[in-house]
Amino acid sequence: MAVRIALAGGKGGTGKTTLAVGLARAFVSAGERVSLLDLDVEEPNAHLFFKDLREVSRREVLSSVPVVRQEDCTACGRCRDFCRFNAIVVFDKAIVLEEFCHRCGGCVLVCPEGAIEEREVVIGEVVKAVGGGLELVSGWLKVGQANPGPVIREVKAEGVGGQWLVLDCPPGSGCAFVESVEGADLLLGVVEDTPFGAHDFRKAVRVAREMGIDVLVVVNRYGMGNGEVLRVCEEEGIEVLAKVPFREEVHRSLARGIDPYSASGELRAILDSLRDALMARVRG
Amino acid sequence: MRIAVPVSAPSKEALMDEKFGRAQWFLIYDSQSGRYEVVENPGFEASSGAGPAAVQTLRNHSVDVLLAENIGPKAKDLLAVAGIKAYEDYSGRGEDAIREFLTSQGSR
Ligand code: SF4
Ligand code: SF4
Repeated sequence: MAVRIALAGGKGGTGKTTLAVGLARAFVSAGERVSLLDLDVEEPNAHLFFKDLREVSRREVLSSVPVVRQEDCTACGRCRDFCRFNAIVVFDKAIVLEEFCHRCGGCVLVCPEGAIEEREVVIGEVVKAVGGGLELVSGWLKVGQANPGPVIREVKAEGVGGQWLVLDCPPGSGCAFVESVEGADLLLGVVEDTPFGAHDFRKAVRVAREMGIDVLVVVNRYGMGNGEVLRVCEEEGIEVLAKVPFREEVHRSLARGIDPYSASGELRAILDSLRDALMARVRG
Repeated sequence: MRIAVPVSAPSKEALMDEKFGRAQWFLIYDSQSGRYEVVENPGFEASSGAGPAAVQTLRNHSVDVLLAENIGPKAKDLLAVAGIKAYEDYSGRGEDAIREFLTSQGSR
């Protein structure tokens, strides 16, 4: 059985993608088969760290959206009153605002005139590529689409080639996060050593634990802050698996798209020991 | 003409609420009758679609003009669809914003 490791940071910009790519490469260097899944489908960026990607497949993700047949709409407003996402307004006729619609299908059922029907539209894409010794599957949600769920599910369905599945999860602790970490064997929280973001991180941790997923932590940019984040981990009873010190030069290389596993000897050693710790934990 | 301003309390003396979609009340001035009224915006706490809900509220109260501090791009598009003219960069007391607007329109 493949092992799924979900990397999440609570808030964005904690270096989660960098560590996901680095960890995936560390598994490759140990001779393991790895799939890296970019589930941050609103802003996928794991591919930026690879120079030699070769695309192997590309698929559209469809989802049905409600469409109002104008001639049948009496502007009664029931669909709007029903929609808890406020995705429908009724001016002279009902209008569905796709970017707010979560595809619950409720409006179709409540319309007394049967004026709403569902139509399939393309909401995103899933791209599978190989490079850097691994398989990378990225999801892209089209701009203006509110619901990343179907794209995330498709990425997870595609990215099953590895023994190790490294999941780069979206920020936050909402639907997209839940959809992403669902079924993960463990959640590796990537947190920065700063007072910011502790709140978001705690929320994500609670959600993951409620889902029955073990949580471990990597502290990124260690030494930048006052160690507050270590206190939070202690309070929550979370084991810190690694601390990645902040290094200006490495930071700059990464910003240029240098692969984190090659960016510095120090970082590589940390990634290797992180990998070993995970392997030991999972395989006993 | 009916002019609406998002306000932070249900009175015409109240300060404007800087977040249009999240305002709990709208102060509405009717230039025909010369009367003010305050209406509640039921979507002010909505976790999704507060903007559309606010536009719907305005539309339900036959508002023609919205004065606000700033309006997000999505809400702006929807206001246009609803046929509501929107003007930004208004702040201060609700009543004053409406007066200022009327003066600038020369239609007092
Ligand atoms: S499908 Fe659900 S979320 Fe979408 S508009 Fe209809 S009721 Fe709202
Ligand atoms: S419920 Fe049906 S008839 Fe009523 S406003 Fe919505 S689409 Fe129109």
